[in-house]
Amino acid sequence: MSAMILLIGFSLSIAIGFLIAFIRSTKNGQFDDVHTPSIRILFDDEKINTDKE
Amino acid sequence: MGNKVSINTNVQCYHCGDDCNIKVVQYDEKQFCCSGCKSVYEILQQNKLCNYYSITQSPGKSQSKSAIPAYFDFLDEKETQEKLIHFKNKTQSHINLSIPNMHCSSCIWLLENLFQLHKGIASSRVHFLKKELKVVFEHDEISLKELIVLLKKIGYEPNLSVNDLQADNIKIVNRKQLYKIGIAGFCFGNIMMLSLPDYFSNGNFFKEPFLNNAFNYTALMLSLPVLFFCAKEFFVSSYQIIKQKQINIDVPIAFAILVAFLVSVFQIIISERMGYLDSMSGIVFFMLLGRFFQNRTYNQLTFQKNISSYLPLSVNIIEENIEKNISLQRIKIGDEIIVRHQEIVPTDSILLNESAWFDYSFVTGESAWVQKFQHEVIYAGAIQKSANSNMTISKKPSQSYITDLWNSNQANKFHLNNIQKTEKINLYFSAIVLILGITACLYWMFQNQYQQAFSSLITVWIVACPCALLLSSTFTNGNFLMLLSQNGLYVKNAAALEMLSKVNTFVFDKTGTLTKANQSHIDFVGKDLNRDDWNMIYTLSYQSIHPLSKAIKNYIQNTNMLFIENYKSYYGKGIEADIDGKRIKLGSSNWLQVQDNSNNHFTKVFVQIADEVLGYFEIKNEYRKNIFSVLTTLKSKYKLVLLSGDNDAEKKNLEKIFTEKDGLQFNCMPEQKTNAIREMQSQGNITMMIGDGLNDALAFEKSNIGMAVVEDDNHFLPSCDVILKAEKLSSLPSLMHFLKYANTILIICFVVSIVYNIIGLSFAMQGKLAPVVAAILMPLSTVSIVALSYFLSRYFAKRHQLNI
Repeated sequence: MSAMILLIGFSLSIAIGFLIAFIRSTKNGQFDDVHTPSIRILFDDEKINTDKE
Repeated sequence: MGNKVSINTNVQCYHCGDDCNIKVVQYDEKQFCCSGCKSVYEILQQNKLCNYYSITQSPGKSQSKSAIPAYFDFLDEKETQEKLIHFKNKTQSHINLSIPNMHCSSCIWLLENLFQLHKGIASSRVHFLKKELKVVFEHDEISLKELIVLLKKIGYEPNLSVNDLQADNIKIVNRKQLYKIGIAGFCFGNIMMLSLPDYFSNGNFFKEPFLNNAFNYTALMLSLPVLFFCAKEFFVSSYQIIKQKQINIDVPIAFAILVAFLVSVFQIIISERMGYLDSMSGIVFFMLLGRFFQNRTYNQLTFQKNISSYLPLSVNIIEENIEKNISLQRIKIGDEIIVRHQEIVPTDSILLNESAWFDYSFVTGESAWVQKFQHEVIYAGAIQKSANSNMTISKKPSQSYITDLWNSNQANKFHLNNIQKTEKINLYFSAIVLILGITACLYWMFQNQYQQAFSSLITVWIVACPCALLLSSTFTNGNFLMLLSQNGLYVKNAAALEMLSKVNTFVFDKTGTLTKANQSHIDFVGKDLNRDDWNMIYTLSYQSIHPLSKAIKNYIQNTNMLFIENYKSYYGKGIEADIDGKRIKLGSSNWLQVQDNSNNHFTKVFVQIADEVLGYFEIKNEYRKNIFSVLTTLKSKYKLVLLSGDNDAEKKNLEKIFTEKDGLQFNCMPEQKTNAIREMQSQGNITMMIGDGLNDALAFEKSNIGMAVVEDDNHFLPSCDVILKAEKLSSLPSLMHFLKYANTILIICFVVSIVYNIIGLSFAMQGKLAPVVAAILMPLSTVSIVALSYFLSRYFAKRHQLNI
């Protein structure tokens, strides 16, 4: 059963990985504005075409 | 491609979508309502940014109203730049600008493509909800002033106010809250996992004791960040309130967390049992989540404003006959300044011109313009309605009347420290639970069953933790605040929400609240006029800068100008001239010697062409749509009072709703409004002041609730508790009715959670409740309460036909 110790270690390190990812994304401001990106993603890349004209 | 002006009807402006009433500006086979809109299109077209028009139809805002010239020379001053620019290195500057005109996805697209308009702009990023634009620019390529001018040119003039830009603190607070929730959630989940073996056994799940210990100590380690970081705010707030010998809702929570932790540590060390670490971190996680939900700030609105955000940032002064644009802080008493048409007088000053017209509606609520003469004092906040006028500064901006008015209401913040009713119930409940737990504990102690004593103490506290109760109020309030904000009513916080549901007296302001701000409605009453007559009236009214002439000129709008001679104006009477060989007069009834037969008190301008009086223009306030039916609905349930700073011209109309017995008053100064409200409060009424301008700011503070009615991009917003979008005024009765259901939902949730508690408690007191049951019951009750509150508030919102 002592393999359980290893398993605790594994599960915790995976969870900590996610926690760090969360903290980093918060720090980078990913959750500061949750509205604008949803609009921004809908813009076409048309501006590149018009540049070439 | 030349410009062509043609007469047309029902054409919509390609840029802003407004109807092009009479004049259409043609350009590039597109129609525009004014040359302002056309020039925005021109700039965008030249820079190949016409994609702007394909994302949303007619995305622009009409440029015809923004004719106020703006002066940005002060932006070249070093001090101003230091205030506005928040980061600067050798080549680049970063600036946050608030842009009130931002309203659709086209705006976002254009503003984020600014770099295509000028090579000096490195990048720009929009925060849509805050209506904020972050620009990174190379200050050697484009100066701050040029950047602002460019934005103004494309129709997005930034609202330059130092105050609006210091919102970074809120961001940091929000992030910290997110960290706390994330960490608490992480620890809670993992501790739950680690507690599983303990639930199903008596601390001997594994044969090897060191394995049991490994689980226990890992859980203990995980609980440390919860206790010291996530739960810190509960401890800090309880400590502060206990120091003042008072008690608030954080005290029992902090107590429960602390006791659960200490007992768990004790148990882990002594009896090698897990204890209650999972419950402890669960409480912290759910409480933080609930509070985050309740306290979500409305990014785009600020409830607290500083006076300087109303006044212009810069003034034009005359120094040795040269006009200079400097920032407001640098003016001195005795400086001569120029205030142009539509500009705001920055500080109390003395008029140097012979006379000028001012709009004091912002300061006093009076809608009619006031004429001031040489050497009279003009108070800060007045809007200049004549041509340019010169003034000398008589007081520093920090000592002006408007600042005094502002500061006097800042000093009286009285309704902040009220504990809400629901919190009081929680407090009593917590006290009872504390006593029950201790009684059960003592009982088992006397029976010499120490294990039982501890277990009952903790299970009572954990199971009956005010958590479910507290969450029901935080989540219900959060739901309501969100639903209301989706319907145009923004409530500052939960305390304001509760107060709002108790209001029984509505105190209205007239100008800007019942009527539309800055818009008067003009009607012509009299004979049918032909086109020539209109042209003549237009030509004559065009000559005068009198506000009434200007209003009439705007009403007729574009017709043809005719040849005019012998123009004369008579002060206080009217104007006359010869046009097309006919004598035409515009003026008062006395001057034209006609009888005013109408039985109202509106301002009237009579028209006389060639000795015949053809009729008169009637100038009255334009009421908001459906306002009278709204007031009638409200009147059946609430006491309605009107305190207007304006004259009593509209008395006839308003007496249908408001009675003098209830306190209908005209010509109210801000102080009188406050006194009237105080009197109503002393009679036991709970009052809500509904107004729009700074003249109501004092009344906002004195009344139990201050509700500001705002137009779309109105930034003349005083401190208040509730903000209502002007177009939503018509749904006020149903919103007010909906509000009251917050209490109903709370009671339902309370009953449900009390049922949980009674079941849980009765087991816990007997010491029979296995930790596994407690551990299941606790999150179950929490989740079911949260779900119940969520669905009930949506159900009631639907029944009131609100947007959800």
